[in-house]
Amino acid sequence: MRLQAWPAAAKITAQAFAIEAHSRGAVLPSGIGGFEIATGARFTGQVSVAPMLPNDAFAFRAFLHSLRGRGGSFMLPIGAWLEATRTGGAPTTSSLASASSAGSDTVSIALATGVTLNAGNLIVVGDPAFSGQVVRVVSVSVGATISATVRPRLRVAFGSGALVRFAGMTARCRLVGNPPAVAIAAGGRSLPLQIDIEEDY
Amino acid sequence: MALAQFPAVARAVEARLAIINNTPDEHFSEASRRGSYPIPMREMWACSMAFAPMSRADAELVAAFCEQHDGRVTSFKHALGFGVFRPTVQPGVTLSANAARGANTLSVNVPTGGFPAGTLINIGDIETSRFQLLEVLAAVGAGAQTIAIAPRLRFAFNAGTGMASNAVFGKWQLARDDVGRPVVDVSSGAMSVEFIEATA
Repeated sequence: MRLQAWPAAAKITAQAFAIEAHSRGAVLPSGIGGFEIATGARFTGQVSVAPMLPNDAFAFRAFLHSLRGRGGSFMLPIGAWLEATRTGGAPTTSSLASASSAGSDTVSIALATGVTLNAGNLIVVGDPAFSGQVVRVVSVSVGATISATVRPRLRVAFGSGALVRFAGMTARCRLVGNPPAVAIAAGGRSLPLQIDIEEDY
Repeated sequence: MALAQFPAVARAVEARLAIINNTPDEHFSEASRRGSYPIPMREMWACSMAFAPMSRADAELVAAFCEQHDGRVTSFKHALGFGVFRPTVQPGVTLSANAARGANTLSVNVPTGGFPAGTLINIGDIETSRFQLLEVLAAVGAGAQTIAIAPRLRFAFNAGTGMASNAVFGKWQLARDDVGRPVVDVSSGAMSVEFIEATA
């Protein structure tokens, strides 16, 4: 099944993301095997899940099996520590101040008062359930309308006004391989679990 | 000869059930749109069970049972009890519509109490190859329901086929040929054994 919601009972205790297969978005000098702009790079990562009560663990096992290996996808909640800094009830979303083309590594965002975007934050451009993309801010200018350099590069073009989410984010992910076994022990709990995931696109 | 049952003296205290060799429902990715997959016959259960400490004599009995089954050659069954394997559910359902080979859903009349996600059910006769251990993938309430299952059906089953959801068994082989017996801790008799689903 695709686009499954992450089970609420599966509490995430840690998550780590890294970008694999960076691409400069250019044909090699040799002219051999040039990649299309930005189609190679993707986030991969690990998600640690806290122990659960048995019935929650059985349901989580069923959730993992419902993905049927790499074929399914789920919407992974992104940890709050990766969000932009917000004060005073500042909004969780904004929009692109200008269009960004496929392959671009910069986005221009009109930020509301009380929102500070920092290098290292993740943001979601567009709708992550479809062609939207999670990117990491690697550098950012200061101002009301900021220019952020991001990785991976954008895989598709986004028009001016496209939604940008910087809090309460989800990323469309899938399992790297077969679902991991959920260990359930006598005495009424599952054991902590680590899941290898990658961005689904 | 009736399928032997894993010795009852081995009491599972931890289970790691997982389905391996999964076949996707849909295309591999939205970007690639590469072809769909054939009806899978390869999705199967694997399980690692850790057993409570037992006496040396019982441990040797279990070891003898494992050796009797010649690695991955012959099959046996193991009762999958509540607690470490599955949630508690009401017994007994029947298939209310024919189910095709390769199906990943079943039409059933779910008993009072419904099926929580992760419920395990058996379909078919464990003494034949037309038998499977199935997992209910999403919770359903009582009544006429279409339940999502994994692994997919390896055989077609007719409406009216009985399915056990109370006394549930796994049909297993030992996962490794090169282990003549599980490792036995001398001081406690505790052991863990790797199983893989027997599909024949």
